[in-house]
Amino acid sequence: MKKAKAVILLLILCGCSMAGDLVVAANSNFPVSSLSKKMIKKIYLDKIRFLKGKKIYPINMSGKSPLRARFEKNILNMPRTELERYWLKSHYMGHRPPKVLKSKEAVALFLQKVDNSLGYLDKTTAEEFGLKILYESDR
Amino acid sequence: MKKFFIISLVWLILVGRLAADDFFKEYTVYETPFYLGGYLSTEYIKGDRQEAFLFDDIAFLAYAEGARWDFVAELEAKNIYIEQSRPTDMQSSNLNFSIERLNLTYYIDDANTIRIGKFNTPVGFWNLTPINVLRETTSNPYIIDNTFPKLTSGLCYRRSINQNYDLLYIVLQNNDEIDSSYNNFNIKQHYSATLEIEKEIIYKGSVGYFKEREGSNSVYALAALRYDLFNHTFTLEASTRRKDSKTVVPYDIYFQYVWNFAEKYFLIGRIERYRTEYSKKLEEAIGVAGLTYRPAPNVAIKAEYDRYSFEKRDKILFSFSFIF
Repeated sequence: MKKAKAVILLLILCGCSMAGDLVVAANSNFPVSSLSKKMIKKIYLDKIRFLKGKKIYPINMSGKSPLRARFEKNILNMPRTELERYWLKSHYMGHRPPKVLKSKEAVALFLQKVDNSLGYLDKTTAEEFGLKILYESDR
Repeated sequence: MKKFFIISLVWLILVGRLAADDFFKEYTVYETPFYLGGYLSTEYIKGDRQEAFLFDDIAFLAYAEGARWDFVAELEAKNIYIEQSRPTDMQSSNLNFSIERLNLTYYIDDANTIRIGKFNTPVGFWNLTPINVLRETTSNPYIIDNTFPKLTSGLCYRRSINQNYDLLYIVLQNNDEIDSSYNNFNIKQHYSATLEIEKEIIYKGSVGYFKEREGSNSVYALAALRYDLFNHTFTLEASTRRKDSKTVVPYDIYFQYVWNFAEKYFLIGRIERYRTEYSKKLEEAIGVAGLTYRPAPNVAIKAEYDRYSFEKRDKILFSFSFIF
């Protein structure tokens, strides 16, 4: 019984952690130490391309990723259909959406290796890969 | 009408499974990513003045992006095929491509950007997404054709003016157009300034001057705002234009509401009211109700009804368009 309670408690704690640990991260050479939600949105919508003179490379996860769904809802605050139309408009204007990587490990590894790139991850993965946390979502 | 549906169906089959992240083909030229694309549009109009099927637009795009620069080229042919039964019976075709856009942008630093070439004038919202598949309705508001030159051949300087990355655009043209075929005014000078402030609502304000090749001078002002609220979008644009010593468009204002009420479906309502004083005074109000179905992100099938308060120009429009 004690074991079951412990498991339930662990699951609840994991659930809380999962709900609150979406972070935007980069490696230690990233030109700023933190970003606001508004700045992240502008970077991901290609409205901000440079920070402190450095070209910034935002990284997306694949369309089916639950992390991407949370990021789009909580940070970008845009439904997928609107984002798709936004990128079509950008295609017409000659701009590209962020590069897509398939797994959170691939994103973390990319951020670790490539200066001035940033991406969203769960906090545990970002910490595992030694990434600098630029923004932490409470949702 | 039959041709319209056959072409639509073929395109639907061709483009049925596209997704926003990966619909465009990337090539590499000297390690620089280079992209190709284009768009097509067909329309069927049935109204008080006209009944016609139009294969009205085909264009090809090429663009590339480097770390500090990007480049866009667009070649477009309009009214490729028209089959009309009213007001006169006629058929016509055109496959002459013109340069719609050709520009190079250089990102000087975090805050400053300069663009040179032919580009969409950064005034208002509608003018930056002028093609059928991207805009909300098949028809354009009257304001878009009658206030300012849609395309400019010259320089555009853009500056982020504060920590919020609000933008100032300065547009300068003092030369003939790169290709005047599809511009709404045949201009040889154009100067404008636009301020864009983004809060919950995006606000834009512009003032400008242009000189047409036939010698007339116009000044204009336009104010616009857009509010995106998850599945709802509200847009308002209002303008005035003075030509030589006469205010030819004392006012033109439209308000549009778009509701993304189900996945892939959009309901659109727009009301526009304007007064013009060219050779005679005209006061008009137009109500537009539309439904758009987007089976894939890059495909739009639209139906629309336009109702005019004064002129006898009511019409229904169907269109099929896609971008690739």
